[in-house]
Amino acid sequence: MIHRKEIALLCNRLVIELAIEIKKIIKKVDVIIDHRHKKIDKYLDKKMILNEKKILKNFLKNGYFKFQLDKKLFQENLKLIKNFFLNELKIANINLEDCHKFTDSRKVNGLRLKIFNRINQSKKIKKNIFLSAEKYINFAVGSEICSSDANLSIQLPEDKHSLLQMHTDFFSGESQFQANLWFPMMNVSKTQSMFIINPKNSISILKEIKSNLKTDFDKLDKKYKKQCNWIKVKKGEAIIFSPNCLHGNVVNNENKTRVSINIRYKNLFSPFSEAKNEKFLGTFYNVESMKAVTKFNLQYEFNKIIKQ
Amino acid sequence: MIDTFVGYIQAKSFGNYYLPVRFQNKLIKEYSESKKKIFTLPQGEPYFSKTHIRLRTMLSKIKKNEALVLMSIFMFPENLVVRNPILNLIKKKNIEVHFLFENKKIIGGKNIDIIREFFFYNSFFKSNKK
Repeated sequence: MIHRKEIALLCNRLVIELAIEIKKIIKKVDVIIDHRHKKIDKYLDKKMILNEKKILKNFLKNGYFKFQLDKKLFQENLKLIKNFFLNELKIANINLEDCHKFTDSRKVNGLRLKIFNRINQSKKIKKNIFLSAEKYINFAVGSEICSSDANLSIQLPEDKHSLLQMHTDFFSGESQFQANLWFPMMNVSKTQSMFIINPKNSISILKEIKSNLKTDFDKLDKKYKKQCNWIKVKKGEAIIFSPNCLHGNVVNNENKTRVSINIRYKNLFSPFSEAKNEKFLGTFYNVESMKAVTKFNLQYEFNKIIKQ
Repeated sequence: MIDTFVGYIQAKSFGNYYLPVRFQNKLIKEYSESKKKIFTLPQGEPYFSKTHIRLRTMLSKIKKNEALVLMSIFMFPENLVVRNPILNLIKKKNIEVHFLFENKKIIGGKNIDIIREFFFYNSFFKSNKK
């Protein structure tokens, strides 16, 4: 007959052995999971590098790249902006493509300004816009960023009063180191969208703009019509483009309104233009994000020590 | 009958003045509203252009129902080679131009000489300063 004490000891040993075995199994599982994670990370890294290379190639060649905005944030903004339209137009429902049914070219700029103000008063909309494209904005200009207001365009069909003929943003003294985020609230193509001319062709046209007395913008529009790349953008997609490239719009000949938003992003430390105008930090650009060292040096004025 | 005001702006100094473009836009808008005219988004001159290409483009396609509105006479080119074809275009098309700072208006060839006079007086004062 086995003694009670012996049974207890046996049980104890069994429990200890079992615990050791479980520990071994957990270790093995951990190793497997770790390995899997490393594999996934490696795959994602590789994919990101590939995408970045592809995006950069597109950007350098065409002056822009297209991408998908964060779906949830885009939908949230669309809802908020749609509500601004409903409030201003005093109607119960609207499809933004049908804006022209509720306003006309005489009133549209007033409507645009009211909604522009409401968009820029809302911290949520601007934050959502930034977050919905953050990865791509960082890719374009870095992670210490300043940005302009969110501009709103409403392009009614056949409206000749809201046109922006071929231009670059540095015409009016904006930094050449900024990137523009542009997205429509609906699918757009052809004249309902915007055009951009690739960097190589833009430079040769800009030389004409600078000093050719015999030309004007209408002549240039006709001469370089074929070089205008009309960007097809789906609802929920966006482009980031260099506004150094000539871009603009023409009369919207489609039968749908275009409502779009654009924001300029610039690295906090990239150069400003030499032009004498108001487009500097604090007046045109506001700080969007800052890193620890920048904040540190803002708080403690070490720079004064080395100033003569 | 003029029913639309077309704005023209510059992001650089003109004469002795400098006004950020957003305030130029605002003033043109308010001026258009005070005269009960349709306001169209002002077009800006590329600040590096030596030929006033935007101004020439706007004048060449301005319609009979439209008038040009700008801040100052000194937004016109100082260089006669560039200025004269612009003045000829204003005369030829009988274009109405409003200068807000000087509170002057020209209609085609009528009183267009004020532009030449303003530049003349300005150059006189400039040479006195030297």
